[in-house]
Amino acid sequence: MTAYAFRRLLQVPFVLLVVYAGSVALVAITPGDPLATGERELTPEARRAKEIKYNYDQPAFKRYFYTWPIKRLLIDRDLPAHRYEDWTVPEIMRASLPVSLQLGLFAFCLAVVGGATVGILSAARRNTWLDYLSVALAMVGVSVPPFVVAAALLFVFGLWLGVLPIGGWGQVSHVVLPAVTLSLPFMAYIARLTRAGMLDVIGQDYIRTARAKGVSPRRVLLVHAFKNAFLPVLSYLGPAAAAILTGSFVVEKIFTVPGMGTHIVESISNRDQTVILATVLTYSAFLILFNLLVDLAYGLIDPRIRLGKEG
Amino acid sequence: MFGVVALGLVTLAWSARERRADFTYVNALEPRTLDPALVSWVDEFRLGRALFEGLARLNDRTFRPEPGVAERWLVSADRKRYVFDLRSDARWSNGDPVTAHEFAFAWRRVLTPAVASEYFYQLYPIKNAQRYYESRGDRDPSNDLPFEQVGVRVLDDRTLEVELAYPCPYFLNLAAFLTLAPVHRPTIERWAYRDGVVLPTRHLWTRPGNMVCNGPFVIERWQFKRRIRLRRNPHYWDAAHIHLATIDALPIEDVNTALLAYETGAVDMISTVSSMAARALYAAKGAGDRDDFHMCRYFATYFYRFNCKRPPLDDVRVRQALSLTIDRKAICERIMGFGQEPAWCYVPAGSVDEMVQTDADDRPHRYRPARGLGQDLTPPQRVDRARRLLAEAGYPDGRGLRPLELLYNRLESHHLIAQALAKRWHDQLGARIDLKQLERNVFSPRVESLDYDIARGGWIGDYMDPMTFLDMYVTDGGHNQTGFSHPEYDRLIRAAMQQPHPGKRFDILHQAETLLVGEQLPIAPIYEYVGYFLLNPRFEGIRPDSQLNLLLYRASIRGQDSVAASPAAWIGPIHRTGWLP
Repeated sequence: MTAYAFRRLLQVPFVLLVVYAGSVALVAITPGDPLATGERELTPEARRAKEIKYNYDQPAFKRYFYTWPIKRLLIDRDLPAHRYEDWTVPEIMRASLPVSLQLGLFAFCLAVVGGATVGILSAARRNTWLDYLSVALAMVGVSVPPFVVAAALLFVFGLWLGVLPIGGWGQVSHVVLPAVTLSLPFMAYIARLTRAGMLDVIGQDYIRTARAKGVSPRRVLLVHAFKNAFLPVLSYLGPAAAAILTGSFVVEKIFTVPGMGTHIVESISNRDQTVILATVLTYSAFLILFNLLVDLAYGLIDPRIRLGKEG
Repeated sequence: MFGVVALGLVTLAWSARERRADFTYVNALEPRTLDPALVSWVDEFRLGRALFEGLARLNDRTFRPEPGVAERWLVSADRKRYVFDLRSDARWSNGDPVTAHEFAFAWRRVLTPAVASEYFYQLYPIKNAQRYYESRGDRDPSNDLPFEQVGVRVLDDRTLEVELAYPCPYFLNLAAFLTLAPVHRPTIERWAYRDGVVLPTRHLWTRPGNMVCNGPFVIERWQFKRRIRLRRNPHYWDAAHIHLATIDALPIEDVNTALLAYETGAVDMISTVSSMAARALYAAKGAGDRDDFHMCRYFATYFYRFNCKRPPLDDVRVRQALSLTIDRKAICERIMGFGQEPAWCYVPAGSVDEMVQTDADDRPHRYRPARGLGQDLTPPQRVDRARRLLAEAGYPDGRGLRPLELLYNRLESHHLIAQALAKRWHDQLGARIDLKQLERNVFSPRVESLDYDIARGGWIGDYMDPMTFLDMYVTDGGHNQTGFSHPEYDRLIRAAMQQPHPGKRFDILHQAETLLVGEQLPIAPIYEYVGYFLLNPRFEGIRPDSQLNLLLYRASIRGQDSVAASPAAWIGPIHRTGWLP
């Protein structure tokens, strides 16, 4: 398995290079002026000055594949953002990536723990009111868009009850509403996956054997059944983690969370080329990492899956 | 995994629970920059005015220039020479005295094209400033104009003489404009700019700890996209009249979140709400509620540009017909609906009371807005006339008229207005309009390169004088963007620039505006903007004005501090400080 992980890690730079080249191609052909960030029209003189600052005086290939990523990002560490003239791209990443990771992590844990609990409960109490309620809630969670959930939560907890802050970042209380909003669809989906998996497993022979041996019902459910029922959930977690991280644009915007999600959309509409490329690369790296982790976790949970070996 | 979560919670809980600032407001956009030479968005100006102060500053009641770093000034009889005496107690935030040298240094920096200032043209009234900027813009250093030829002379540390290219009655307004604020030379030369060259560490000089400024406040923290905290500058010469110790600017972009934050008391002031909320607040204010919703006329016009270089819009009759047909009243009432007024002229008519200039005998003169084409007709008469004009131009009932492309940038109200215009022009004139909604970074370059037929425009005046609206439509003017070129218009603007008497000057500008909106119509004005903001009634001192300056540093807690005007507050005609011999 170590060899497998190592081989996968070796592929990462190539995958990233392909992603980067693709993004560069898209950025280069997108219409729009990346230098038009101010309120007033640029004079030819000022435009020339800005072109030099952002290396637009160089041939495109050199700019995208040497000057920006290697010289200015890695060596000088002063790659400038277009929209935020007083900040560099590394500074912007340092300021916003940890925020998105924190928010994403809370949302992710909330989704897994909450989803699994609801799924187990409704499978264990199948066809009772509890089951129907959780199935209904899961449907709502999947189908109601986050901006509606966010607005509703803000009104209830921010305005009416006044117990949680409207937005911002920096205190524990700031995490609650965005994390709940962000996790809800994933929690609902995980609940449905867990429930289906549990129902599937509960009918199998080894569960009956375990019961016959006199294992307590709780232990049968939580250890014997859940372990296998969780496999489909596990395969969903990789893409879910990536989606939580990248899908936080709406949530970050509504709750004014200073994370990376807003940069994804904003940098594109601002034509902030340096920030676009940096965000795309960062997210791709995380996506690859999560998928790798999930693949490795398979092997740990289910010994029947042998990674990297034929047959 | 849960260990990690716990760790995350602890770090978050640890990240200092800082006390709330005395005054917190929503600055809708994270500032692009806080460099006074570079700022260009309204939000940046608001912050910048708390950090830097020019020769003059704006009075918090009249919003006319009053002494700032300069405690008095003398003006020559031809109004082309100003001598500013700097106050001895003007200090930088590190205690250094503010000297005349630093004004010359800052202005020279603004006039360096490599710095890429967007408001460099605010210095153009100064003699040879334009020549200096243009000579430095090409790559040929041999024709560079030496700065000594620009009309700025440092007579001594505390005396600055400025020679203008033309008698510019709003020069003191410009002296209060942020782009003309001084910068601390050692700081700039350490980080940003030295000997005409922009340094690669330029972006670092505005950071807390690095920035040395001379305004009422200094920057204490700048957490990217989270918060900017300002703290009272103890070295500010008028610090005794600054009541707040700290100000927080929060970049809340979502207008609904911002309104909720205001309604729950998390922030004390917001200046952007959704148009739906604005209509509701406007109605509530009309009904006598919501005294915290402040409104004013805004020195800005919403208009449409016609491409005067492209047929059929190069025909003035077609432009006249299109402008006459616009139902401005319906747009104001049914689409905007929170106090906007139909615009017939280009200089906002609602702001003329703030454009009062006095002559040598202290007689006030007021600008008289032009009458727009069709302003005195009834709506059916306007449409009749438009149809006749279109027929005269060779397109009876719109026959033979090619489809016109109408560009606008993305915003709900732009979208609704564009649709209303297209429908109206189609129904009344038989014109076919193709609507095209574009993102700003695509929209602006297309308008600037005249790659459009009809395009939405908006203009916020830079200084309280009609010239800020009118000079842009001279041939190849800076923000003309219509291809409009008219020798008589150019002549009138030139004549107004050379005219030292305010009354006569206003008359010439009135003629020019009449030519612009009464006859030639390279643009069709639609409505005059309104300005508004919500201010927690706990506070006072921030007043509405035509430029929505919202002087943050004037805020005080109601009743707690005496808000008597500072002794320096000085209301009156702008030339009273004296005349040069």
